[in-house]
Amino acid sequence: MLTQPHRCVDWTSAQWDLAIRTARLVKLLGTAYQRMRDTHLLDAIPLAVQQQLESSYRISIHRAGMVRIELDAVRHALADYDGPIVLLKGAAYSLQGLAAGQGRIFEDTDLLIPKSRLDDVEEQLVVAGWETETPDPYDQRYYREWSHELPPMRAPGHAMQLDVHHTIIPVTARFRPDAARLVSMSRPIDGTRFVALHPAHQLLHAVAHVFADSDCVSRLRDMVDMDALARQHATIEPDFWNNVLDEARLATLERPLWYALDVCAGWLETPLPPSVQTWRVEHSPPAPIRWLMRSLLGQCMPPPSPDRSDSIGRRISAKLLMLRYIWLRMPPRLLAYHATKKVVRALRNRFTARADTAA
Amino acid sequence: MQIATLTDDDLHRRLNGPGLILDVGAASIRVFSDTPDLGAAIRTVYGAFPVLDADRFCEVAARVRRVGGLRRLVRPQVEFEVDGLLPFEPFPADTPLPLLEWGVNWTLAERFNHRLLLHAGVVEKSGVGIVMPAIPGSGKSTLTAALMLSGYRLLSDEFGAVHLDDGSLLPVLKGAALKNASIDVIHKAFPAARFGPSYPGTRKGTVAHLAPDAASVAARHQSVQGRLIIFPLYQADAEIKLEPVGQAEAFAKLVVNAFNYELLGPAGFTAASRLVRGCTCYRLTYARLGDAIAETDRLVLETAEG
Repeated sequence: MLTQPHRCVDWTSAQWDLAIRTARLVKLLGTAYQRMRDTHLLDAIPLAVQQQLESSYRISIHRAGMVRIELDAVRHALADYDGPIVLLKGAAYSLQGLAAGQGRIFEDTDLLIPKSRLDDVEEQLVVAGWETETPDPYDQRYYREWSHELPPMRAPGHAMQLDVHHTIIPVTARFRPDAARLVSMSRPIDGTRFVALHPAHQLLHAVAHVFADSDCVSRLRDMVDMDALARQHATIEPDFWNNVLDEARLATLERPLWYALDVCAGWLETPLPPSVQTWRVEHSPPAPIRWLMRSLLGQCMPPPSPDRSDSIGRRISAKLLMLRYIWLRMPPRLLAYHATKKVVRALRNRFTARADTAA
Repeated sequence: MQIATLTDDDLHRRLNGPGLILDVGAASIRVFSDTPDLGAAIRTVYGAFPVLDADRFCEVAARVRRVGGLRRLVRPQVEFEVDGLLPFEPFPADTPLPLLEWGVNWTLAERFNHRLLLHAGVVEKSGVGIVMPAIPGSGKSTLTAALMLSGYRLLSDEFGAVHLDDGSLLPVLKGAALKNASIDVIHKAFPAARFGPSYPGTRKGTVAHLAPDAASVAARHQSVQGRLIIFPLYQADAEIKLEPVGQAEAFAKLVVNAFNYELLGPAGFTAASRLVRGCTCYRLTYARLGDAIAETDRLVLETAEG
């Protein structure tokens, strides 16, 4: 439906049923609408399917409007702040008019602010009425000390949650992109007070979000974003791919980028120029790791089945990817602390469950 | 073949296998369930609906299943799942049909943004579509049910699905959920009315679902132009009273409790305007159902001729 939309014209209604349910699980219906419309195939598919795609697309349009309303409010609230306000992810795609913003179900609005100005910005937002959604003091400390963003905020009556970041992945992670560089290379979004990340950083942010800051499970939607960003930036941005490779090296995100390109090229047929193909050969992980990650991602990254619970293979792979994620995200000491806590909790639960069964 | 003719075994096989399909007009619903009583309840309420092959596209695939774990020994429960989502807390195990109905309504409301979705009862007679907006305590459901039982075609007791381009109304034909005293009122006035099981003690009190009649089921793919908007108002001891309502007021009342008016933006405004412009609008205050039906009959006659 996404890579070769013309092929679904011949689908049976049972195939459509499964496809739409699966796409719905990973929030890709709006994107499917946009692909079908742009390839003039909407009228060639069953009416009921068209309508479900349209229904989802209309939600996307509405949410995009909410993002604009939120950004307008932010602009007013930060009238006295003269630093850059970098839009991240969907908010940027939408205001930049990128294909990756089309059909997307926007869930929150993400900003990046230089760390030195973070207190300033937070204070002005609070004065303007934004409130934290995280009243628990421990969670507050978690966000401020170990995360890459302030605790999420919301202004009363606003549909959108506001996430204010100071860098793109958690500060405890092994990967250390230079936040100052992200800001200094950012570019104005025409006709707005906001800026967006440099195209290379925009792709790397999407890559880091999945391959350095998640367990990769059911993340097809993110891969579709990366594919759309890569395709579009490569056609309009001179030197896009060279910049991506250079910036990946500087941000120590080469391995995550390798996995992302592997999946994008393999599943979504993202076109990669020869220089990138050469880079992929040179930077390939050792064969056993490559094989392991490919099989884990193959098991876990696609959407789950809407009817069946996950296969044993998928469940085990997901556990291993979760371990990988924890390993990447936490320094060993913090990891040991969390692991001990988790083991104790798991044991306690098991004993409680046994006691229940006995009773 | 109609659902009424399915045996317990047939129902069980479908609900536990590829799903039992309910084509409600504007959408198809696939129902999965491992609860023992749901099949029979569906057979009563949806008896007039055709039995359909499961190999088809459905807008909603809903599952009502028993909740596992030790708790089921003490207090058995059922839960509603749609595509991996559990939108509600579990219900007591003996109320599977109300859970299915609420769950499907919730899901339809989420997935019907290709139409303006009003919260209203819709019936039709002699080509005259009547919209009765749901205002709590108005007796919309009771009057909708009574009209169906008096020869009107039922399109929906819950959803007015308005076509965005031409403002016409599409059927979303489901069991009409009657609550508390309404159930007895309808039972007494129409002894032949076919109801599903009565479920006491739900969140909304006692609920029973009135089965859509064969004529409404047969016409469930036919849309109708709205010609009348009636705001019913039940008042014990009131004299029957019909007052005209201005189109602007009717418009405001209609969209304020629509499910997706705001989401649709200009498209919603256009669809609602088209609908209201084609309608004459009234407030109908009544104490006795018979009077309200007679008054509606008169309005239909007037509208159809005029």
